[in-house]
Amino acid sequence: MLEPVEDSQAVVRPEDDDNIDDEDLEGANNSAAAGAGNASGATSNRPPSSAFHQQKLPAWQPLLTAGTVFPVFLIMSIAFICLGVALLLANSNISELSIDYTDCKRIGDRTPCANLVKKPEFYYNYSVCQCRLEFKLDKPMTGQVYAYYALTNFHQNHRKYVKSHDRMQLSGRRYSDLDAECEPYRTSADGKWIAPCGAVANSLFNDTFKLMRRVGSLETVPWTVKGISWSADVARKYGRVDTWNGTAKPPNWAVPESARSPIGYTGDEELQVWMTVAALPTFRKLHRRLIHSDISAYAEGLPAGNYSLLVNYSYPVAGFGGTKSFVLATAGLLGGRNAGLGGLAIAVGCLHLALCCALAVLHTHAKRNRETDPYYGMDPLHRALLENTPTGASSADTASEDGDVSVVARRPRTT
Amino acid sequence: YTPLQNQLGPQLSQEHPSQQSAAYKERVIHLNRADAEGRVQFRSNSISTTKYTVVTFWPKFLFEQFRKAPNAFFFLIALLQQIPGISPTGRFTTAVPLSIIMLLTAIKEVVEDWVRQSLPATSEHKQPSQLHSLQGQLVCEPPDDDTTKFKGSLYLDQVRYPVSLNQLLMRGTCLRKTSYVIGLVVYTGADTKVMKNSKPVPLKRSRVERESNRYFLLLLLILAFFTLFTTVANMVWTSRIGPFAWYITNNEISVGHFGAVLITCFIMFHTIVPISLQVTLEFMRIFQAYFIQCDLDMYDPIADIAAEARTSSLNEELGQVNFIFSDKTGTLTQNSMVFQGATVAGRMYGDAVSNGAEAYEFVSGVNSMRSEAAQGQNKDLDDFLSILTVCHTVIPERDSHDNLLEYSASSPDESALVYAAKDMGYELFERSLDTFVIVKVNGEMRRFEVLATFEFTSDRKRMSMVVRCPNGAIRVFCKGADSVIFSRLQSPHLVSETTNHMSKFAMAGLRTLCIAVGDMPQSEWSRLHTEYENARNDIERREAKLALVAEKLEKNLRLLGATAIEDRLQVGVPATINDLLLAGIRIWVLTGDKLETAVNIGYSCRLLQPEMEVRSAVAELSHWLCGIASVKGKEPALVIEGESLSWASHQSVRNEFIDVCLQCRTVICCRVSPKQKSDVVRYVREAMPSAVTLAIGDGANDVPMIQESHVGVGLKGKEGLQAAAASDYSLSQFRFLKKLLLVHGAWNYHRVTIVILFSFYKNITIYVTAFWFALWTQALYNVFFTGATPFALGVWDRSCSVENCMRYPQLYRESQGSDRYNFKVFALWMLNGVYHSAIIFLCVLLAVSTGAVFSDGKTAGLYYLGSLVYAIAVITVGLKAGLEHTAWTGMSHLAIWGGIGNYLVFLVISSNFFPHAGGNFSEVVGYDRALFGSGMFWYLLMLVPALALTRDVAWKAYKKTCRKTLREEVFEMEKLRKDPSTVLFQGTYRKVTEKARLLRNAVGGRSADASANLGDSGPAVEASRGVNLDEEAGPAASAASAASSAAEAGTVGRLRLTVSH
Repeated sequence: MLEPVEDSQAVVRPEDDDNIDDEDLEGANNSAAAGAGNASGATSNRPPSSAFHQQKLPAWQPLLTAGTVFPVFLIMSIAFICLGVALLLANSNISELSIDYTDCKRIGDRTPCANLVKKPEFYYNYSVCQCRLEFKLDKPMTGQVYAYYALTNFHQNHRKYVKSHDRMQLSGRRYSDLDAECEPYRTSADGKWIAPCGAVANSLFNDTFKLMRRVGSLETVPWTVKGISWSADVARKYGRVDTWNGTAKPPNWAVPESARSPIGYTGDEELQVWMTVAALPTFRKLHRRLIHSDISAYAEGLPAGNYSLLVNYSYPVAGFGGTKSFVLATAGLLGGRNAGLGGLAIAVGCLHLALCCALAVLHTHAKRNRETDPYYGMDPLHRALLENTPTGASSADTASEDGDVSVVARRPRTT
Repeated sequence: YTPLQNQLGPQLSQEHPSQQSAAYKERVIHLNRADAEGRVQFRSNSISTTKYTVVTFWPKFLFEQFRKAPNAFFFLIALLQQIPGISPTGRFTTAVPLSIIMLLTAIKEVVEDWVRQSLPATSEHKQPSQLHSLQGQLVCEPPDDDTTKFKGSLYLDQVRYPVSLNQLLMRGTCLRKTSYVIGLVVYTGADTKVMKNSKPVPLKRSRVERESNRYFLLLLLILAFFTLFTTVANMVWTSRIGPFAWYITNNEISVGHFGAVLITCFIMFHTIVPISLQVTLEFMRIFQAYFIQCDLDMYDPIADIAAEARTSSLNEELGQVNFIFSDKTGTLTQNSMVFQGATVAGRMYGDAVSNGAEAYEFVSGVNSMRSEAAQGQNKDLDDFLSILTVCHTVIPERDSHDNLLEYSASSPDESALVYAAKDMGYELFERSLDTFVIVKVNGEMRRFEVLATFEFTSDRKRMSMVVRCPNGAIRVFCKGADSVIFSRLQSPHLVSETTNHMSKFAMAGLRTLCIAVGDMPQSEWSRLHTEYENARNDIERREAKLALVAEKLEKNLRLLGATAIEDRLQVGVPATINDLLLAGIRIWVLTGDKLETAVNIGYSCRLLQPEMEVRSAVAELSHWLCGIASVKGKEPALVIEGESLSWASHQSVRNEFIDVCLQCRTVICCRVSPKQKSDVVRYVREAMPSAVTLAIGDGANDVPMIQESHVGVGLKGKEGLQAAAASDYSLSQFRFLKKLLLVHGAWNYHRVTIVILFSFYKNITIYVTAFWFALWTQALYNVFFTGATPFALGVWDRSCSVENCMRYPQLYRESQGSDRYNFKVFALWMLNGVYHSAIIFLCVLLAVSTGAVFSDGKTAGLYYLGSLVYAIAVITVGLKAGLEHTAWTGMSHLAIWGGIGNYLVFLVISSNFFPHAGGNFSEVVGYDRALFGSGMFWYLLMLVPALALTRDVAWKAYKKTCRKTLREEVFEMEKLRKDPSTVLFQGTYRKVTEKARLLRNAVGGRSADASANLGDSGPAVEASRGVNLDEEAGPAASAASAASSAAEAGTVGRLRLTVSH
């Protein structure tokens, strides 16, 4: 481990270091004497002598050589490998099932919904494209199960898109004179304020799902929309709306916000989740939380078996080459299933272990070599400097010879 | 006492000033006559030595600030951010920090200017009624900048009194031995000689700073690359995906769109340039300068003078000095002269005794002289001592009880002689400057009437007096340099003996001065007296005319002998020079002294060493150059005279000359003028543009050199404060230079470079992640979260202990070159920043790849990721700063943990208390819980900094094991409690032994007519005509009679004028 040593004590003090002052100033430069002299009252220019002023604050000066660093790496590698293994084990307990339904076909005529749903306006001009997906859960999902939808190639992080909303409107503090960033979804054609305004809200994900388990007949799996958004969003970030007068729905929406949540944005958790824009073009958003308490079959989680997912397909993604998925998953301490986290920790641990070994070898090698060569391990340039110094001794070693230098004068030349 | 009293006589010229022919425009000042005819309005006495005034502050300050490239850059950014809809950050994310930084800088400037302004105040004016009745006129030279000349005539009651520089008090003069003087204002305000002389202080910037500006350009290039790359990438994406991404509005390509994206990207990436660097550096340097001033090791308790850092912008330059140009007298020596012996009438008092090593020790001859003088038998010795007692400008100062306090002299040589004479029984008892001198010899009073005085000038190199001796005979007393005295002798009697003795004195490093006497018949004096008075009253050509008269007087002299005065070396000079040489610094001595004295001092302060080949350059330089080649294995040293130097100043031979000089281990330039001093510095600067030069001196004649060099150090010594005032750092002793360079310089260099590198690195680390993501930026990063870290690094870090810095001057070499701060180092640091940002980016990317990062299944988005990256970057950068610390003081902990803590506190505050403030504050509501409540944050917190810094730690460990620098080696020894000198410096440890001295070969060089050049040039060569402001006030003490003052202001140039009652 690094050796914490107080600086002031660790220094090898050259004994005759101060000889210049002590010898030549005839004691007058003796700071104690001077201090006493000045203490008698006269104003003095003598600087303060505190450790701060003299730059002698105690300090910890770690020595980072191979010898001190390799144990540190050893400890860290052990810690990270342990962490990694633990994370991998925990990760294996997290279940996840993802169903890509981009290409699912309409119930009845088997037309690919993607062909029908090309524009966001689709779903209020036409009826929703309904499709069904059958899947089998081999192993039960234990614990709280969450339903997500996942999009790819959807740039919710586009700068213009991100900015296109009005926080004041969403917090319920503003009804009119909305942020110009919302354009062109700021006012409707008839001059009403769009609620909520902006491109983010307008492009709200609007596929809906119904999950059913085949237990002889189809049994709807109960879930809730409550608790999918952050509590701070519900409590503080999104507010109530007192009146919807003079507002219009976003053009892509089927129903106005007042119909989705009469009390205002604070009650529309789906909107809140959507408006927490994703960081990457591939993202997943929490859609529903399964309710495990209502029916005993789901008390432990989601049992294995056959399931059927009914999708009201109305969100167009094929145009920009995106995909849509429905995801069922449980969560661990670090969120969803992600083997990379444990892997990364193990990798870092291994890297540290390798470096630890390398440095340990380096250390023993250097230690052995230093016994024969005191300069071993020095930069060649500095080594050369040391070996070629004209007079190696500094004044500390030789000044004393001169004693009273003013008397000694050397002959300049021979005449 | 009235210095002009003897002028009150019929022989005075009575011509009216208006009749006088004026070859140039004279300045006429009327006494007490506000209504005088032809009255001219002189300039106002107000002067400003400050940089700013109340009115000009803001315009001038802003101009100065925006002239700095980074400030102008950030100002542009702040302007661009005002365009609505363009800025990816806030509108004020640059404007606010920039304003804060400007405000801080403005406060600093005001404080510095305030300090500059606080000059000593004008004293209370006394208003005596007598002076009101005084009528007269003063005619003098128009204002000029020559501080060594002043001539004028004062007309009082139609009587004309000559006035000269002796009567002039310069602006800024301090009264020392009197409470007030009576004066007449001659020059005011900007017309004063001192103000005319003041040049604008040259703006000095350190090498590190100049290089950093170049790197700033590199950063701009990277910025341009990022901006263009991102813009083009945006265009490509928009054209390919844009038309299909229905959810994004206004997504078509146009020129306007391109422009907007370009500016947006520019604003986004500009943050890789650290906005806080300038202000961090400025304030860091103030602290560093403060620590220099506080250093007790550089405090002189006798003089009660601490070191002073007059500028803070050159602290790191002190760590890179390659050349030191040093003055000799007062800098290497104490400028306190001690009489050691003499040669009188062929007899030597005192002797230079070989101490067996070809070095000479001088055995003082004072005792033998004293005993012989007491016998009173030796007539020549009597004359000799009489001249020492009479021929000078020293004034005895007495207290109210008539006890002698001290002899007040303008040059230390003179007072040394007078004190020596007193010691031998010849006491200067009383003196009236131009009237008489009373000498007390063994209780007997002798009165010498002063008939004429010819003061010392550097041209004449001698001083003479015509006196009427107590026995009535008129004699000429003369003392001066051997060269001028020898040519005015009646016969060569004693010349060879005296020369011989003087060369012995010079060998022992003593300064010599010839003494001669001449007899003058009354008749001849009567004739010359008229000429003398005429010359004295001539305004325009007084000096030339006086010199002519002097020539007529100073002939047929009889040589009496010569004095030997020792100018003691300052304490610790040889040791300091030895260490500075070890530190790889070349030391050149530039002195007005003559060659032999300079060489002597060179030896005694170890600048010239036994194993050196010392040559004096008077012959062809190229010849000499061949000489260097022929004497292999010996280090050459060059001694050059001012004359040769002026020859070398021709462009054609200058390069060759400098080449020769640079091959020498040391160069001593003697008999050089102030201008030549600065020329030498300039030549070296031009020949070696990368070398850092430091000039150190104590007198006014060193000011040009001090201003010319990269770093000017002034010694606050006996020659006034001019050098200190012009310097960047002022000390009280030469030996303090060692700590200033080896400790403060080396530390500060390390600190400043690491801070610059670190500041750029930290911005790269955080903001290049913005290049990976389009991530919101937080301008606060620079000021509050990582701002203190470089500051602590830059103020409290210590790269090596004081003890070892001082003990092993070799350590200094590390900072001297640019090994530790150059383009490669800078680029590697920046690359390291990019690497760290990539690690942070990739890890966070991996972590949030699904978006479900909470244990309750909830998902997070862009802002969560931004906060995460940001927090990890703050921590990584903080730890990296810790890694770069060589000494973790309490301040370091405060800065590192405090910076990280600041961020966390900021996060809590911003996510809770301003939900409706708009901007990013509204976006991050609840993010504290989101971040701290997610295991992901803690996981990344543990893993990412550890991973990112793995390379740094491993590389450091490798370097400190296999490629240690000297400093690191010594540091390790320190930690392992080993004495570095026993292990490291063992092989090279070598004492300068007596044997080595004996082995020293004879020094080659000029051998011809050395005798003609022996002997010093006179009492005031070294003290010279530097503006001895403090000293000039001295004689005024006795001048302060019962009269009172009419002087208008204490800080203006004043004429000292006396009134008899």
